[in-house]
Amino acid sequence: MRNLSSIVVTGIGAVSPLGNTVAEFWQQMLHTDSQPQVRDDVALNRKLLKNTLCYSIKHADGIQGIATDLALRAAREALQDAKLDGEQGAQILIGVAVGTGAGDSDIAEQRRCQEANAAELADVDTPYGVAERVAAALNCEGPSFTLSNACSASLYACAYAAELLLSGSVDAVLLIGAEGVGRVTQASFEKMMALDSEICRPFDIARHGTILGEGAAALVLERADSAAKRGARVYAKISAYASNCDAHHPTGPREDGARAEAVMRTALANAKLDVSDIDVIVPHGTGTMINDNTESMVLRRVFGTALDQIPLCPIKSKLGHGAGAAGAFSMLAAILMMRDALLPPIVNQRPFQASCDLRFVVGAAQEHKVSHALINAYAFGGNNISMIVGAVS
Amino acid sequence: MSIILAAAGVVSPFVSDITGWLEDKHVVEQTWFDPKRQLAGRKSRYLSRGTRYLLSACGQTMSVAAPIFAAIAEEKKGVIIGTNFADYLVRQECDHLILQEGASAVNSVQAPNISVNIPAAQTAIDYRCGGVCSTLTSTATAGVEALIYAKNALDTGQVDALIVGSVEDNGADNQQDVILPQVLPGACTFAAWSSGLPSASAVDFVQPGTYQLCATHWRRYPQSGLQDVVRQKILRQSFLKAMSEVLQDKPAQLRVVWSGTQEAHPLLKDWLGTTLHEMGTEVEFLLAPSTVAPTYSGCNVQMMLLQFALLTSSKPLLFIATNAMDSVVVLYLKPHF
Repeated sequence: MRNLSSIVVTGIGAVSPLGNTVAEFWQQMLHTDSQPQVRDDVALNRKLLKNTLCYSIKHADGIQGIATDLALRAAREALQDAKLDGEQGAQILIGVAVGTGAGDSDIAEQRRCQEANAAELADVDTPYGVAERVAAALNCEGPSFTLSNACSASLYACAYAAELLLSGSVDAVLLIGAEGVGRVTQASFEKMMALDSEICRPFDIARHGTILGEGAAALVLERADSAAKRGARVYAKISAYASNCDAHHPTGPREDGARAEAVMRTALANAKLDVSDIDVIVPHGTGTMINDNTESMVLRRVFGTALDQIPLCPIKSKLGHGAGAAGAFSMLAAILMMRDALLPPIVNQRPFQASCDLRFVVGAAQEHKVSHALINAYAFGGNNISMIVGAVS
Repeated sequence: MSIILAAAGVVSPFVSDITGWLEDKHVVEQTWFDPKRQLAGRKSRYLSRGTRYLLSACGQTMSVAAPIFAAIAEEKKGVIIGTNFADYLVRQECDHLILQEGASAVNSVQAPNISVNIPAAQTAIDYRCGGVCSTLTSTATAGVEALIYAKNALDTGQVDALIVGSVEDNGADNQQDVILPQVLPGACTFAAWSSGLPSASAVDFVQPGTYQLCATHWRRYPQSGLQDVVRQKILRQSFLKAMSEVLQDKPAQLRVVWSGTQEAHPLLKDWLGTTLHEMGTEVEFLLAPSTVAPTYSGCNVQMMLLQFALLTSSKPLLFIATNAMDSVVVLYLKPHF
């Protein structure tokens, strides 16, 4: 949980329900409303599930291993953006860090529809080999790992990637959050009554769950000195992070929010920042009743009255809940807010719940200078992580 | 800095605790896991098989390491687990229900078990570990990667002590009903703490098989690069430099273990041989017991082989784990006296 301010972001990439590039993602995020789609295909259909709503991406016919496919597409854009897709990239040791909740579990789901034998499947099916597959395809020879802390996976992967960079064991890391929406995850969320039946509306008084979303966001991370040495464009620095575990319940957060509060406070302390230094918050904000209540309460405790001056951008209102990819998308959005001094509005907003009535950006995109952004991610298993990204002078 | 690895715990079809490794008795039990016996006093009806295995192995680890953990605040204790298949059959069982009867047939209490990080999370709950809790899932090497993750978390002061290990599920607690015969089921755990931990119980800790994890090396050595004349020179340079850094104390004797789902590239073995010869190190290669055959999938194989090596030796150990996607993870461990 160190101050990481020597780690910088030098490339970005994204494939999302809002588009196939970062530019499309950001334009839609700033200016367009978004709605989930009712899926009714072989994998996810209304004969099997009551709720097939998700923020989905149209996949090419026959694609298997959706997380790997999305991760590769986002990674290529990020490497190109960082100018590490050619000669420069070949000169340095690049690692791959993937955060994903369910990996390529769609491969087995597709084949189960064809009644394949499970043992035959596992011979060829390593659902979590996403990082290795990306590393092999892109000739990245640094350490590659997949981390699967459910919905906080990619923010944890980002933190660990930064630690590896600080240790000097790698020159750059391609951090990717990637997730497809599969039948088993959708059905389990439905059964746990964690899905909204209309739209994803974090902090809304009428919310009754989240809606899952697909996508991959990729960031190239480097040490500031090596980025400067090769003349790389720097988007932002990672100022600090802190993580812990509720150790309380397999799925529900601690109702007192004590551990989520501790990581926010520790991240601020590690970054040597005061609450008034934070210009925007990208909350976890899933749309589930208890998560949004707890996060609002904790934000109020940590920030006090300063919170009235800090805008919140719950991006899941446009993307859905990207599960393992969610943290990487929040990082990407925060970096773009910093770059353009623009905050995207929340959509689907109706009256916010009184206890969640924070300073949300609504209506149109809002001009706002961002020097420091706080990003939160929480997950099944009680994983809490807060990260602070900062502008680079 | 180095970290201490100690208090090994294990459940598998061949070894029900570490005495199995020490006595070299690897008996194949028909029903090798009985939650009523191996999780005595703990309700386990709604836990996945993977979670049960992990809790059982952790029970063995904590029966030895409890005094060390008891002296540490909850938020300074963590859990790091590697797995590839802990959720695979949970998802499959769930999917069969969905395909046959629809989503309404899924049991809401067991639904959370589709998340692969639940075994680690349940372990954190049971042993009140409120610091870092992570699940790594990289193919085959996730367990040994968990050790590197643990070393970083301890070295950077995120936590003072950890439960670190691996877990896999092949579909049954017995040998008859196995669904994924290529997966070695069970769990394998260690307690880990910083070598600088000042508590008396840590300082005075003496148990067989206790080692210090001193240095690591981790990167990909792609087969294609090793076969290319130009790339091969660069990779050789990288490997030799890494080995000289990892083995900077030039051990007089060394036990070497290669572990992987496929044979490591012969060039890597040659290069290591050259390095050790130049250092004047006397080398003993460990022969793996047949019960942890490298043909198994999942990450238990490497972790159980590491555990076997630590418990049956008193020499420094170089453990080299590889996977089919060209990842190479090197651990250098020394006995902790």
